Amino acid sequence: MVLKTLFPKNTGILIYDRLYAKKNWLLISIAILLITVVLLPILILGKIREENIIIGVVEIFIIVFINCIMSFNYFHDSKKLSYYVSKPITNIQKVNINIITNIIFTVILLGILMIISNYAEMYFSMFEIYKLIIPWLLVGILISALSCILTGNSIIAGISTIINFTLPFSFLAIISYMFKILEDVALGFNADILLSNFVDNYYRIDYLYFYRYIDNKISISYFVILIILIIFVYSLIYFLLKRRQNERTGDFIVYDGYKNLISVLIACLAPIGFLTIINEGDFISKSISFFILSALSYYIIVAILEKSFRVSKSSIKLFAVFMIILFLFIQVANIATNSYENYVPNNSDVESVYLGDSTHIYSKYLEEGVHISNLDKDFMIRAEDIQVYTEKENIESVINLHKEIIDNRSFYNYGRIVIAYNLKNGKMLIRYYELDVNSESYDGKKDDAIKPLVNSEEFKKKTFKFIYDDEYANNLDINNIIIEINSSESTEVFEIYKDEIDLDKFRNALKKDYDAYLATNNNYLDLARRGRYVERFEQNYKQKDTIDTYEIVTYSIGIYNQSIDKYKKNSENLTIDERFINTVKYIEELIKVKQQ
Amino acid sequence: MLKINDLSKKFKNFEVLKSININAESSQIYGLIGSNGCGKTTLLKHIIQVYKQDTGEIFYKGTKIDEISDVIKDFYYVQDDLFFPYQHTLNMLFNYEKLLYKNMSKDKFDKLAKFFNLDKNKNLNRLSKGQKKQAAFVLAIAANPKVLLLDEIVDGLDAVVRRKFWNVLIQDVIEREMTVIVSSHDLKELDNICDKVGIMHQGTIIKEEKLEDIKDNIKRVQFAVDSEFKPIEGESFKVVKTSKIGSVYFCVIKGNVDEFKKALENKYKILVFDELPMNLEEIFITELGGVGYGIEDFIS
Repeated sequence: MVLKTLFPKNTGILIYDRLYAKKNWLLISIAILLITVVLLPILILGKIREENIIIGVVEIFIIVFINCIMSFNYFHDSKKLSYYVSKPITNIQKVNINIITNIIFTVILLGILMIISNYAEMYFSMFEIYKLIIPWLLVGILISALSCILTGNSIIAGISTIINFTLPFSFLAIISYMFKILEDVALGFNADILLSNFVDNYYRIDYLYFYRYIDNKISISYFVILIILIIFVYSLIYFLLKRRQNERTGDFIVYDGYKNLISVLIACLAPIGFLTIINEGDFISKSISFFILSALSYYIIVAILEKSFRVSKSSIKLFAVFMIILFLFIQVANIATNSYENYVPNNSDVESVYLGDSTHIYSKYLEEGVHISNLDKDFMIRAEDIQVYTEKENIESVINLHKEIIDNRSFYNYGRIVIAYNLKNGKMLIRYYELDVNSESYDGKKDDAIKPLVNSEEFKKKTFKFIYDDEYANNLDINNIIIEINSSESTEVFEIYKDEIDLDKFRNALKKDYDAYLATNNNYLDLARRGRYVERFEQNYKQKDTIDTYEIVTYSIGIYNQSIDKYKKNSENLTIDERFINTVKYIEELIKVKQQ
Repeated sequence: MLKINDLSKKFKNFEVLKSININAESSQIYGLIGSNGCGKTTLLKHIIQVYKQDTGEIFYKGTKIDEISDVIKDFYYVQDDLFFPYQHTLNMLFNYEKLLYKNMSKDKFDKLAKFFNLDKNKNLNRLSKGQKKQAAFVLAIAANPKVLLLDEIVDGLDAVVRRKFWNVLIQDVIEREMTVIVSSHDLKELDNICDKVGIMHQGTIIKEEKLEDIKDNIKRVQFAVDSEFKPIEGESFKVVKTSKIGSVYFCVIKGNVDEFKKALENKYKILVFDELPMNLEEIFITELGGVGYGIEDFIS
């Protein structure tokens, strides 16, 4: 019964007739493929390469796109529409026959490309490409049919097909900008973290566009998603076709709802694009710019779609509603995030904490990295080489730093801070801050808050393993140590072999000097979030004075192992200066012996 | 028979069709006439379901018509602004339409193509306007529809072809009990072939009657009386229009002309009295004049 409604009795013959009517177009398409993918590459290169196959794929997309618009362009011409609709075959049946005809047309082209690819120099399987392009083409054919129904003009139908196909990305761009707004109004929220979390957990665009399956095996989800997509788009075709007002043929868009959607979409995307390129200004100036650009782009798109410079009252009302919703979103987001942005967990609730300066955390030990939004307990435990602290005192230090950041966002250096709490209830609490590096009011409380952490054994062992981690150091199979002495006048390099150095003595000297360095260095926050040596004699922002680093003699120490250690490293680099007196004294002794 | 009940349609805020009621019988040619832009084509497109009405219903032999109803498969619409698929010949289009219309007759098609002297293998888009009309008409008749909707079909045809055209149509109507609705501006043409007319103006049917009855009900008389004529009134007639040339008066009378003559005799001595038939064009002008259309004088 359903099939009878969707297809006429002689569907097969009608499809054959439509295909026959397209025979010239099909022959030209095949000729284009053969000339550009086979003939020309063989003439010029002597072989068919994989990039030629990729060109073929692009050509198929273009050919199928044009072919679909041509098949459904009777919706855009009053004469054609009257002719075809007046025939004793329902609208949905006509659309179905055209869809099937286009699918067969596409299958023929893909089949030819598949045959060609057998003779091409390929570094990947054609099946890998087809996993992506078959659903794209299939859904694309349906979307172009839908777009032709929605519009009353073929050029607009073409544009609309592209807009509809990329609609999930447009929504993502808008959501991303909403997160940017949230980042501006809510302290500690980061648009990238929010977006990444949103995309990874809720808005699975990788499934929707099937690119997830490029490097993965096809699973049942692939077919389920494809079927859901086909049913969804086809349902839209079915219901919209029933409600199509054919008398509006010639208008750019024949459905007011869709026209409104496109207008609001453009009114969002145009200012988002512009403001993303500029990426300057504070929240107020960005908001005003957004409103002005949004109003301008809305007026232009409505004028184009209505073919009139007079904007109707309903359009003005729609824009007003859109702006009110946006304003309400900002207000609600502001209120809703107030309680979150000032929240700092209790020490007793925290199992461990990560402190860093980047939203991407890479563990050389694991040889894998995660975006901060995906940081979980498992990674924090497994990645032994990242700055994760579990000791109560150190967690307290990070909490104190966190509280200080909430109270005062000023800082004296490149001010990105990421704090990720692994809570005992199994949840993660992630905060991202961009501190105000131009602030004049910095009073150094952040350094004070984090000083205990920098001087803790946990920090020292994680950051300077060769010096503080005896087990690690004793297991190293050291080959040689290269010392580079840099002064304003000269650079000298010395190579010391394992049997020429007393490693315990060397490490003890370093330990004494580093203890002093970590106890007195003013840049605790930099040390903590970067987890490495901070050049001590560079500009000291805290004290607002500058020391000429060229006057200082520095020692770069490279410790080279015979094999790769457990952290996947085969060397350790340390930088000290002439104030590391114990180490410098020992190095001078070593050089003296070496020179004798 | 084809029946339309209270059909209305708005294009945005503009009411194109207002409570249209039509009753076209089988074996009948229904003439749809009206002022420019009155909605004739729009009405035909509603019947064939290209457009969907806001309110009202269309029935054929008691069955309600919509896009999915089976009865509409026996309807054929020839539009004023003709379209033929790209690079199609008459033969190719016949073969395509044969897949759509179950009663399409090859024999009839061949005979008609020959009768109208059409080249069946010539690209249809390269034909003249008149030839295109004939080609569309040939396909329509070959489809053997039960309801045939013709929009300005004789526009662009020469007198000889028109005669051939009407002959074929009338013969088919008689033989197959087909219902034909034909819209045209050429009222002289319709005058000779229509059984019934619907006069449209500004989206409404202002009059729908058998042509014979209309002509019986509206007459023009010319007369001369012994003194100056002043309009007279009666219960069974109405003087719609009066004019005078020399001493002879011309009146368009709706209703009983005999009663009018009696009333005239009661007031004046009639010197001359003649009853003249009115053609469709004159009736059309009179009816539309009654609703205020075309009565304005141009003032330079």
